[in-house]
Amino acid sequence: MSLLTVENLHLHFVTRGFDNRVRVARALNGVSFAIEEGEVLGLVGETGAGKSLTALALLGMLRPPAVIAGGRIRFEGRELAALDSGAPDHIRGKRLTLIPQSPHTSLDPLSRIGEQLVRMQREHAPVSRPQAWRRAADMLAEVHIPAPEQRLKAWPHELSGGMAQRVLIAMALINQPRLVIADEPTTGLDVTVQAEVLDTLRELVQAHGMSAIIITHDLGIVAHYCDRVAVMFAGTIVEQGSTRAVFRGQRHPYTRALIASTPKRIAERGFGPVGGTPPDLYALPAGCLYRDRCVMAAELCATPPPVVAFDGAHQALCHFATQLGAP
Amino acid sequence: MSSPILAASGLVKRFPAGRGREVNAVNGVDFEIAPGEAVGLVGESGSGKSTIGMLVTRLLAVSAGRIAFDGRDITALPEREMRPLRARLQIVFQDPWGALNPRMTIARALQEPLKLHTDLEPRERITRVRELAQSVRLPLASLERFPHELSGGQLQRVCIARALATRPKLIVLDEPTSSLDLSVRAGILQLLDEIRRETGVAILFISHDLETVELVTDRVLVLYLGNVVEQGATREMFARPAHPYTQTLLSANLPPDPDAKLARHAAIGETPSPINLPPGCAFASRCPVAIAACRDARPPAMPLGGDHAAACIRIADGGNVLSR
Repeated sequence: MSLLTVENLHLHFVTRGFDNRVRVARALNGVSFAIEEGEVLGLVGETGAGKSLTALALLGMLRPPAVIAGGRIRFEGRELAALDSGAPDHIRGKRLTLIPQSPHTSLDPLSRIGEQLVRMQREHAPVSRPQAWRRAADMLAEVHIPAPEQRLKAWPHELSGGMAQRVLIAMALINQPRLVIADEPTTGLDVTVQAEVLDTLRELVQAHGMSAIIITHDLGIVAHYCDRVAVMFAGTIVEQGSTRAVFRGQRHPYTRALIASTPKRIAERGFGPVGGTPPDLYALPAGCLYRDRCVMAAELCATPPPVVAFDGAHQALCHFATQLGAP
Repeated sequence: MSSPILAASGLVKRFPAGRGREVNAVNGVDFEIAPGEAVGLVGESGSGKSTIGMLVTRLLAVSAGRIAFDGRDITALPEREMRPLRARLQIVFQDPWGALNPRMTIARALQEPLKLHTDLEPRERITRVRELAQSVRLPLASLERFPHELSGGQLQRVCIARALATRPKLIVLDEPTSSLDLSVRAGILQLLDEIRRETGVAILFISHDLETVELVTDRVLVLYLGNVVEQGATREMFARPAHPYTQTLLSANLPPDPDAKLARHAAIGETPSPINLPPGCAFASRCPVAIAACRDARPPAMPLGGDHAAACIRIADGGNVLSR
């Protein structure tokens, strides 16, 4: 059984317009994927595709006007969507944790690093303060922070961006989760620091046999740090499969356009067709949501596209998936 | 080579940091841009690349050094004499949301430079605005809109159109695609490529994104803590980086290809503070091949053939190459 299974997840934002009419933004439209033990999944897509919302739904961090309108989330055999959000459930924050983006706004500016790491442990387990403090120091050493004992006494503002991101990784891993979700873990960091932070994350995920979801818009990170990739567009996963398979032969036109947009591919093959705007989530068309931007769009695309499966759990949400794929 | 459109020599910029201390943002940078050439400035945060963009467009005053634009010394030109030159020397910023007046329609924003720098009649201005919109692939309907009604990619097209309005000879582009999504970014890069071919404008392209710089520029300068550590033709420098910092930087890049081999050279520790710069090579404290002499004096630029040069004394004994 998979560690995590998400089945047909729908998420809506329900609000009222100025005319007092109810407006529904369909942010997630049937997201399905699974993660096995020890696997690293890359969740990619452009702004507004629903990557972070998927993470927030898994973590039970959604607040109104966001509502889960349908679907199931099973983690370690338990149904997460049914759990009452708000109360500590010792799954989220312990078995399933988050590495947030923007390191400097994600740490409590008014308490020392050590204090925050201790609090994280004592929230979920009856450990003594000295014990938790020692474990915090060990954890900082694991994320390669030099002089961990002294760093525990540091304030968040005393840390560089790379250091603060390492502290957040330590915080997410200190309760030995089974699955950690890293939401754009290196956005805003310099490239040399980014590589070191990602190396540390991978090293720890492997050492502890954890699974991870890395949310990113950087295809380079996916190519080198993820075993599998799921590509999101307008709240759907349009393609997923092993990283190698997807990079070798894309089965969805959006994935193909995305990879063709990277400067490396442009340098090799010239400029490809360029995308327009994402669809209006308040008025989604029937059929394929990508069809307005798609170079292959045909009449058939006005009907909902099927999930077409290929070898090795590679699948794409497209009427023409079988005709694509040749590299 | 024809005379450069921009020549910067000995550029220095220091910012006050309180209590009599100073941040040494740019520490003696020399470079030239030929007409129609695209030059890249790459470096990490704090390397001084954006400051250089502000200095050469005279949005910041230099602490020392000299800037010549189109053969004319503009280092200390009074603002009144500078103003007509600004028509030929334009800048596009990273954040298009912050670069446009939220209360002006796009058409008005594009007319502003024409009002300031040309004597076109109102009707001619409108014609020119429509031409500009077409040249950056902006739907004509968006001219009557306000900035908040447009997407980031469209807004960046407006900023580029505004910079082009007065037919500049040089555009400084400061991270023009960093805040945009991948497919939108590709559209902007394609547009810049077309504009260069059609107008022959020279470009100073500031970015931390190595792959974009490799795609867009002819020549590139690598900055570290306000110093040029290496420069050369883009293709040559990406193929044979000589400075240990350049090698480290390029090795940290992640190509979007799972089969690409990564070299991965790690620099040691963190970037030193620009407030107390070490006397020798600024990279020595993090460099895996540094020797004692590196900490004594600032290394001179060592020629490597063509206009490729790197400021590393270890090039002399071949010790500059980081092993895999």
